[in-house]
Amino acid sequence: MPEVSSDVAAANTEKYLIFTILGKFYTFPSRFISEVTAFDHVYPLPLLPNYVRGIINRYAVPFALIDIGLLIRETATPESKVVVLKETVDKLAFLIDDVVDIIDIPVSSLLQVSQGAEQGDGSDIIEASFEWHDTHVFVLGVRQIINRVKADFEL
Amino acid sequence: MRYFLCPVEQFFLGVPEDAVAAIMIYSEGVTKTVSRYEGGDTFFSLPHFFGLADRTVRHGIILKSSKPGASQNNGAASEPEEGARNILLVSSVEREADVPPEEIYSLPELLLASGHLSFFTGIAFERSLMIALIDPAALIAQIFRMQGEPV
Repeated sequence: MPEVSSDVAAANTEKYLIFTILGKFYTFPSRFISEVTAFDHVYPLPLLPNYVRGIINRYAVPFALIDIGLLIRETATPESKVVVLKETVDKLAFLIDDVVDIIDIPVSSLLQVSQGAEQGDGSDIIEASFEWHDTHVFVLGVRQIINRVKADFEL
Repeated sequence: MRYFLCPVEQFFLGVPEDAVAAIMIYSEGVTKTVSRYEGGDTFFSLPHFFGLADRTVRHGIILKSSKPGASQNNGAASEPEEGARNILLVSSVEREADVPPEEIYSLPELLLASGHLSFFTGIAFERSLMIALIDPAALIAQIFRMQGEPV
């Protein structure tokens, strides 16, 4: 029976990569992530919202580099490290300060984030949150980020 | 496929050679994105369209005329009159390059979601250089769209 219990527990948890952006804690499910790498170079493209910093070259494949600091707090994230998502999710990468940890989170611990009245509060790109070491960790939503960029294009 | 490469800030715009009739030297001043002249020639200043209006325009890329009924230019507003030409004004045409199809990757879905950048047909890297390939007809259609003109 103990084996059954641990299997059930594993089935109800998901692994998350926790990282900081401008000192705040964010995360993606680790199954979305291809790699974490040092920032190298970004090629700005015209006509983009300022928080889409441009294109980065990952093994000759173009990924869009998103600055969540600029998107949510209108403050540029230092060009330190980059979280790169799997190509199957979308060719997206995110500037981060650093990786903090990789942890298993029970699905039951995830709190849905209600949409704020103001787009600028960032809640429109947050899928959920959870408590970890007495702090809030925000789960970034890939689909929500794509929708945000689309909406900003249409302004 | 061969492309004319035009520097734009930190990357090169790649204009497919098979869409180009000729390259011209351009020495007139440019004050806006779209300029129409008698005879029907229409000049599209890419530095202005890309928000880089302070860049000097040195070359014009004269596009091949679209055939009646063809999808190029995507409609009446961008369809040149008989004998008229669509000309892309660029800072310069620096060189030509072969870009093998297997080295061309689509833009991330995020950047294509709104349709604003759908004139970029792909991205290729040549060592440390990035080449953003365009469909000139789709670019002209998007310029008209963003200028509020019918497409």
